[in-house]
Amino acid sequence: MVEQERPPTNPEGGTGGRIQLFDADVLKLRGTWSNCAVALGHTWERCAANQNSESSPFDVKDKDGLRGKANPGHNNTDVSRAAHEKIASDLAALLDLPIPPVTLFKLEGVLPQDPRTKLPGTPFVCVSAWAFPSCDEWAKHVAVITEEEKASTIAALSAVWVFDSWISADDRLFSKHILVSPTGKPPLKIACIDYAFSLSRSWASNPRTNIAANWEMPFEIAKRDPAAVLGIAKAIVGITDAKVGEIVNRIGVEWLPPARRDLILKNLLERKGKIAEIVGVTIV
Amino acid sequence: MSNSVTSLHQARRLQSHILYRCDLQHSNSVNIHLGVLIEFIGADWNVLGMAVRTDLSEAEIAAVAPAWRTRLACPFKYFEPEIERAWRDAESGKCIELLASEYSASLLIEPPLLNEHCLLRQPPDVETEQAIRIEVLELLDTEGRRFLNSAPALKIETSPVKSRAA
Repeated sequence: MVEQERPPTNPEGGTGGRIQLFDADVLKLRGTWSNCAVALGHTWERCAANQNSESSPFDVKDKDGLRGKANPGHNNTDVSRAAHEKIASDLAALLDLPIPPVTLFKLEGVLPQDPRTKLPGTPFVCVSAWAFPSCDEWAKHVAVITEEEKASTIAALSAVWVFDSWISADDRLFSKHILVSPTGKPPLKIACIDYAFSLSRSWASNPRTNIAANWEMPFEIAKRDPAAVLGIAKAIVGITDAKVGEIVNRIGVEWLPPARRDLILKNLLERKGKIAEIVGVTIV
Repeated sequence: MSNSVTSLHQARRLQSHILYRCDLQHSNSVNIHLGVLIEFIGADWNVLGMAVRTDLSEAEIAAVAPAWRTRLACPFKYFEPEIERAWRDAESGKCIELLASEYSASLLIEPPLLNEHCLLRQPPDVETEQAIRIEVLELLDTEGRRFLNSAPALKIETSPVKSRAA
């Protein structure tokens, strides 16, 4: 197997902000999970009721006590939420971005009612690993995150913005979709979550040709980190078509219907070639 | 002539726990129990109550991530405005669900569990609102002490009983 070339996590000439700060255990998990659709060796069981939010996620644990967040908790097939989370995570792993590892899983047994639809959920879910032992939404810590900590995330947020532009993850509310683990000192550890509404959800009704991600920043950034933007744009172009195809095509039809799979593959490949134009940089 | 019959009010009860999970990644790690939330939804009224700790031990504070230590030194003080906000902003019967959707990582408000058929007593000569609040306060005390293992200092409060006709 040929390893993909990875961009530096600390691009030369940038703000010096590290892009990805996951612990060794999480990186090890990512190394395994990102190379397959359904990671072996985990039998996940539910350990809480569904949250009453859009995808009705719920907490799970495996027999070794590893904890994760599963979704969707409902059986709406309007969006391939689990497949989108998985594809985004696997592509992000190639780029060493701060997006937690995700695996697909088929739940066994009786599925409880989702609080919104009042119907049992789907057994075909994804499980996202927690990136840090302790973290919460950005909004929960906004009052205690220092300016230095904020500044330390600019490279990472700039890199994720390029990635999100590639996969059209442009519904994001980053005060909610960035998990942070502040300590009062930079660098601030971040993990970007919730890619359910990217990819075919974005492209089914609107191809969003040449449009960059337009998401709300958790704080005002005067200027994105140009080295991080260019570094990730180059790295995206450098991912082979075959690797993108492998990541998309290995998702089972239970999680991703063929028509959506084809739409995702077509757009990922087209947008990969145009990513510099989409985010407004020149790759020489 | 005073009424000598105890009335019963049927209601749905939503109940949730507030926890701090010291290690999110491992289910066998320590959880610090912080409090209990209860929301009753009657035919034309609802009420929200909380039983939340007023302090943490030194060992517990040390186990909490640095970013939370000051704010969780008195959990009641932290959660009181949050719960008031949910009471103000959420639809009737959705207060705990709102909070649970917002606190789902280290600081956790569990998705509420539903008990469809609860009966609240209204003794003779007690106003409806007062009777409901007494019942809720008693339940919060029982459930709070059960979840928090009796020992910690606890503060219990309820919202006013909100009439949906109003």
